[in-house]
Amino acid sequence: MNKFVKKLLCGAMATAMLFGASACGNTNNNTSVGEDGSGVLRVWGINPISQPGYDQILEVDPENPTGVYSKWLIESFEEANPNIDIQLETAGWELDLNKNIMTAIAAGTQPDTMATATYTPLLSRYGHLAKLELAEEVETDLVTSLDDFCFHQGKRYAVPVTQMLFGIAINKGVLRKAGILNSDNTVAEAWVEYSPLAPKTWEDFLVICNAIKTWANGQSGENKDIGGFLNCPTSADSHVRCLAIMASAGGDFADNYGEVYLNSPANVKAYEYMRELWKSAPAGNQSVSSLGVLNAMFYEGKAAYAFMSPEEVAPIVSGGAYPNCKMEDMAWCELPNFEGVEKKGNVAVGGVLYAVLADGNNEVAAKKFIEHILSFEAQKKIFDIIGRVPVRKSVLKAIQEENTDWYKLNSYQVDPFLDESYEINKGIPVFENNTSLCWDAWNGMWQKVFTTDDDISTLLKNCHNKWVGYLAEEA
Amino acid sequence: MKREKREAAQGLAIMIPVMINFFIFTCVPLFMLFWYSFRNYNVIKKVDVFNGFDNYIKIFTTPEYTSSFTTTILMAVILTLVSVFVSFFVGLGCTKVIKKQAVLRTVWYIPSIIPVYVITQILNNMLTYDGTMNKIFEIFGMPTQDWYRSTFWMYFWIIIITAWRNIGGTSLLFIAALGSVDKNVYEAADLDGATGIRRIWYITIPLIKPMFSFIFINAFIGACQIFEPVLFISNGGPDQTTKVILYRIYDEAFWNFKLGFACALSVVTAVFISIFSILGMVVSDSDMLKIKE
Repeated sequence: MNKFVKKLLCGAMATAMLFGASACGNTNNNTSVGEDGSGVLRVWGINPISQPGYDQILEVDPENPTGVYSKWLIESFEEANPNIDIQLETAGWELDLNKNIMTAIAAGTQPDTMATATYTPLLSRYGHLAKLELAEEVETDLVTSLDDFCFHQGKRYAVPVTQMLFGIAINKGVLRKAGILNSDNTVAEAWVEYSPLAPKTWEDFLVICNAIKTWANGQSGENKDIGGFLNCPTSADSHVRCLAIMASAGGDFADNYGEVYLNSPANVKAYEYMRELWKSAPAGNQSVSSLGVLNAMFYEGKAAYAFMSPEEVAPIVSGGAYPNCKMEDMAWCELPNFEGVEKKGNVAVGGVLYAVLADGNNEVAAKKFIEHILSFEAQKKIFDIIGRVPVRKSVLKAIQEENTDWYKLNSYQVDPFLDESYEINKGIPVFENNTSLCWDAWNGMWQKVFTTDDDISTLLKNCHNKWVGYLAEEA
Repeated sequence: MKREKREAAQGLAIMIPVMINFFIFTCVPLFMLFWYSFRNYNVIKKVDVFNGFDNYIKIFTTPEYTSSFTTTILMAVILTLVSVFVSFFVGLGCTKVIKKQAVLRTVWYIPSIIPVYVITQILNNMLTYDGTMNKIFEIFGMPTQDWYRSTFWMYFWIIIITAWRNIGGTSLLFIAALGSVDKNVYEAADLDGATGIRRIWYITIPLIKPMFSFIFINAFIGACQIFEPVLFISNGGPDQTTKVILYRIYDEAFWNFKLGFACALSVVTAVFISIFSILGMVVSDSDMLKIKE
């Protein structure tokens, strides 16, 4: 290779290093939009709206529920609004979404509408979200369990699109092995008063779980590892699962404005109960490193009960991949109550909210899109196609009336939204400051709950005091 | 002269894009890192105010952050020692094997090209209660381990996985260094009766000392920046005992949105690494490590 060619190649490679600089200063918010919202609508999607684009998902599996729903939603919106072209983008969830929205806000490249989660109050509090005014018939028809995340100073900044409640998944196969159920799935006589297929109280639930663990301890082979209830150790969403039991006892973590409730008698009761309940967990439950591994334990038939939904379980076990966890053996029931606590409680989980960015490029189209997601038809299809729970009461009533098999499996999380006697906790609180330090402190305390015999009220008090300190720090 | 000027101009023309790239993507971000480390900068809260040394004071007065530095240094020291010395012996072994040396080098190098996430997910499956590792323990009559609740085991696995991935690349450097040693020196040593460990200690290591120091310092700098294995294996647990400083930076930036504070943590981390690296260079150049004859 002669000198000239070598120099040319070096020069070309060196110049190529400048290509990266060509992206500097680029924003996606320069396209012009009409007063009626005509133009491009940028959407950061998350389940039930697919990300990446639905066409890519459907190429792999044409019947993928999220892909099918997203295709219908977007194509029907574009048909009704021919001048609006949806650009569906990937932005991840939780940490990925945090990073992406922060970068987008700093660079001025935020989308027009996005799925948000528990940090929605922070975005609305600091002016990143546009106010939403829904039609009255829609506003009064929405469930109110996620209002704490959707409203700020009395104004709406986000809408729920789908959400779920906790219920207890039951593997009847394990109950049969342990002698709690007969071979025909009827309840064994000794267990009738405890209602193992729908325990009324947490205390009864504990008796059943302990009995299963005692039976398993006397077994050999794979049966010796079986337990009553599948616990959730620190690395896998344990805080929201704990909240389900805390809420049942009338307890909570904190509100969205830094008021901490950890150090309460209701929480002491809940954590003392959980310490006992975790003793009935399957062998190795405490050593789980991720939610996937935890769920696999349930599919392998290692626990009779777990906090899992039909939407999670059905796709996995329907195909018969797990001989110890068959769909025909699966059942679900609502959360029990604590003795002496009359009001039924649960926790809003898996909630997906959609919001319009105040500095997005096409606020008009974004608001039209929000209306479309909340339409009766779109909400009904969330249940029919994806199997998730919609957020409009009229749709929930229609689902009740249809009384399909899927509704029967999910009644524990459809009915409470229509039952005014139910108290639904808002879910994990949003912290202004030191979110990671707060949850680190809680994780440390949570570990001690099931690895030590330390006094629960002292553990909670110490964690409470740490949280108060962290949250009181100036931002 | 004219030709020299022309060649100089050509060289400059090739260098300029590289320098522009370096300026835009290294110098400017570095400057911004220092700039924001003295500010309370939160994109979500629309806060961007100068707050002096408050960020730095908070780092050194908050036990959670100081313990992360301790964890990082401890993990880095152990990881460096394991990586470097195992790599040295792997490199030494490869140089002894004449046939199939390329195959050996490839085998040792493969782990470094497998994504960390893949390796850690396989490890996590092996560390379940009834996973491969506990089954191996059972075969040898040892009690099953609760891996994720043991700080010792989490350190062990993070270090083993990281070292295993590093050995390939590091051993290649040692192979290159060992290849530069004059074989006559070994022949002379053989005549004097120096064999085995004595040969390695009194001849090989002193002759490749500059490369050894370079590898050691580089390995330590890399080890101080350990993050992904911690994230995917222990997630900072049990009870934050493996939460290294890069994990704290990640938390502060992306959970707490405190970019200014995350920048300050990054600056302190860089300073710590620099101090230890300079110390390492000073010690390696001094007579402290001189092998006594």
